[in-house]
Amino acid sequence: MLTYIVRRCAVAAVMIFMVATAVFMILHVVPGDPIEVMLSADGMAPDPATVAEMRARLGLDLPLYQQYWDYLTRLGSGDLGRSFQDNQDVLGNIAQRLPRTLELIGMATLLSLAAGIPLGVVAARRRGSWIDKASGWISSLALSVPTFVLGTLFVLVFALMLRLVPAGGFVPFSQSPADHLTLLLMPSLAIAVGFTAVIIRMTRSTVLDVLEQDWVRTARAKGVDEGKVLRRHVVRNALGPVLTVTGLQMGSMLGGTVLVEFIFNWPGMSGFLVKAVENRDYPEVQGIVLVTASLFILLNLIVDVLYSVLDPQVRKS
Amino acid sequence: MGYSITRRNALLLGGGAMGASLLMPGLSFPTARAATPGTVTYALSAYPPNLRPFEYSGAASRTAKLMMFRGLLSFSESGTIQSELAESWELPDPRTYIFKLRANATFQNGAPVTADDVKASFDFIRAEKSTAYLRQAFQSVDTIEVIDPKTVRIVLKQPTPAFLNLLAGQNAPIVHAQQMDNPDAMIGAGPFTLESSEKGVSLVFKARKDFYKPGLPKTETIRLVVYADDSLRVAALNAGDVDIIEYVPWQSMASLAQTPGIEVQSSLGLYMYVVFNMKQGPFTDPRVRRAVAHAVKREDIVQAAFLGNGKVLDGVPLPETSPFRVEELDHLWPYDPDRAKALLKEAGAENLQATLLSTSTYGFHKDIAEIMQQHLAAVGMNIKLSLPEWGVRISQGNEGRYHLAINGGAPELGDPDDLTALFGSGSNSYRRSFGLSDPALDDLLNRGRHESDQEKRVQIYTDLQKAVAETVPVTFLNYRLQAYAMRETVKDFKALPDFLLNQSGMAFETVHIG
Repeated sequence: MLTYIVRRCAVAAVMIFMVATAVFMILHVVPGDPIEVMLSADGMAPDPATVAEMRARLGLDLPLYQQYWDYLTRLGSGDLGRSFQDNQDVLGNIAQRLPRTLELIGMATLLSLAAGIPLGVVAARRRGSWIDKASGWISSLALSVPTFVLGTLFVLVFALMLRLVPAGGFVPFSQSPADHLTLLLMPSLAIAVGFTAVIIRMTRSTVLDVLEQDWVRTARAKGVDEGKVLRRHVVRNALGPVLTVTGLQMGSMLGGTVLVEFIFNWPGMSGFLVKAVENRDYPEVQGIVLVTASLFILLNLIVDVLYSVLDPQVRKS
Repeated sequence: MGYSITRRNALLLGGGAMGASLLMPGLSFPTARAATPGTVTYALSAYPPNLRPFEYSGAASRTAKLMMFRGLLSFSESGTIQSELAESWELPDPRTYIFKLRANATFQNGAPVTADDVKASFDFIRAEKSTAYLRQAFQSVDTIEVIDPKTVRIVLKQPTPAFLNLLAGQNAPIVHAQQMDNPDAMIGAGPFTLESSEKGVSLVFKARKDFYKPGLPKTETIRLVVYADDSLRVAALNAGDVDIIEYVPWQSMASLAQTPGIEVQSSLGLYMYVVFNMKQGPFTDPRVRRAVAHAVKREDIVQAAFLGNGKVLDGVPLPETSPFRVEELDHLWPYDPDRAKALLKEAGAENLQATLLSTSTYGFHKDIAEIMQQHLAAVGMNIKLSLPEWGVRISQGNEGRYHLAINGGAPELGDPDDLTALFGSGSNSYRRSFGLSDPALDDLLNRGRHESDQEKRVQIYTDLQKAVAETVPVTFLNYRLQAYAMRETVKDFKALPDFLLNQSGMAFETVHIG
């Protein structure tokens, strides 16, 4: 078991190294000079001597292999570098932004599961009824409306017409928990609508599958109460695939909340990455990609290890 | 038998619900949230990349920096030069400036502003390895001499009338000489101090009690909050989440101007223009460049790309009130497709093929490129568009990888010396035509820069405009409107005119919620 975990950790370390190398190389191959971009805001033309001096200060005049070595050396000591733009610590900035995106994803997931699972179960249980048809229509509609349209509509209706919530923005939880949660609600809902539709459909189809199984028929034949059959035998067994889909959706949301963060002015990781790429802020882009990729790899590692704990065959293979 | 929903019923229900949700609240709009007394909330279009006083880092930074820093001079609401940290100044001869500092001017740390600070700040700008935006311009300074703690003498190498404009702009602030090691922590003499900031979100400034202008600033707190999305910025103003917004999107200007309780202040200072590759390709011939200048119907650009929020510019960009404007030279390149065709024929450049570089990052840059492509096709030019994102576009512009390209510009000095950046030869820059080197233009620009006799200067810049009409080192397209919008509770915010609009952050010392 220990050998297995060590081997998986070694593979994970190699993958992180490959990601670090790939992102470094890609950034340096992509056209666009970080100093020119930085000093050319609003169409101003920087003095070439200033560009050269700035390049030297940031070490961008060094040969590529030297820059790569410096980068790896820093990484080895856990230093992601400092932003080209404002000289702030990249790791510190990521530590500030990442929880906000995780919070957004977490809240959207909670809302989706809370609405999607009961609706999916009811739709399956009453297959062919108006509830089933309505949930089918609603989930089709929810899946077909792009998140940015929904987001804009939410701003229009809830912020501008009803004036129930601010149009967007962010207030730290420590400053005002109520304001923080109010501002979190709309972007979470915008993400949750499409996600809920997926959960409804997945739950409905897996519940229908399980309802056909022999053990359900046996339970009913034994005279077990229908509610108990549903709770203990059907829903519990149907949740496996739903949770798998939830995990995959959450993973894809890590980098997929760009539009929602933009529309609602939510200062999370996605917007941070887009701005960093736009500015060619190499340390920031490298840091964000590396941290995000490491999170993915870490999650996979945990799942692999859990599988091996649950299934000895995986361990042996 | 249960109730069943047909597709038709569902569509009707859904449509009805959506329509009702949109229309019903519209019948009785709740009022916007009330403003917070003592706090002005301003929506920025982008978070300032940094607050280094001497480096240029965009319009959002300008507004934030103007809270904290002040120079010797500034521009007034009418665009004239006025005293700031300098109480008065005199010119004993055209090369020499003597500035007398205000007795009560102090930095944010309470230290008095002295002539030593002025010398240290300007020496920092002009140092050999400086990364200051004005490093090049400050090479014209010969000596800086401290006469007494409140008097400083600056001698230029040659007379340069626009030097005062340079000092009135915001790129030459005075900082405390004792703390100049870290550009991110320099101490200024502005009306506010930075209380807190959260990267990408907001900056909060608190008013100083010991600012050198009695009674100012009028508000206790200024909050700069980032709303990068244009529509959300407008929505935040309408909802009362913010008091002032910058960069009002063109599609919202008319509706905001008609919204009760909201005021829009706008100006026509910024402009769009076309640069050419003058080292290789068809535009090395001035007749072909002139053909482009006559082939573009600029009114279409103003209407389509800016929704009418602009003004045709077919001459050289000079402010309305500029003494250097000559009426008969206002329209150097009127729309005339027949003349464009004749010029192309004369140059033997009929059916030419070329690449027009613009960017997909900014919608109006892309729109202009698409409109120009049609106009140039009408006179027989086959134009291929290249629309990379902004960073790539800058690189390609600096390397001359284009035949002609769209640019946006903003004069900074309010003096025709601004034109040197566009018509003068120098290092390659995406901002001017690639490979541009015209000794005749250089001579006129140089003479204009150093001529202290106003009449002679006017003549020099008149000659320059005539020369430009023929050689077309760039051709201009239009002015574009830029605006601030604010709630009626905001008092004493006055945007600066024309090219100075981006420096309207100066107004924060008087602004308050009334």
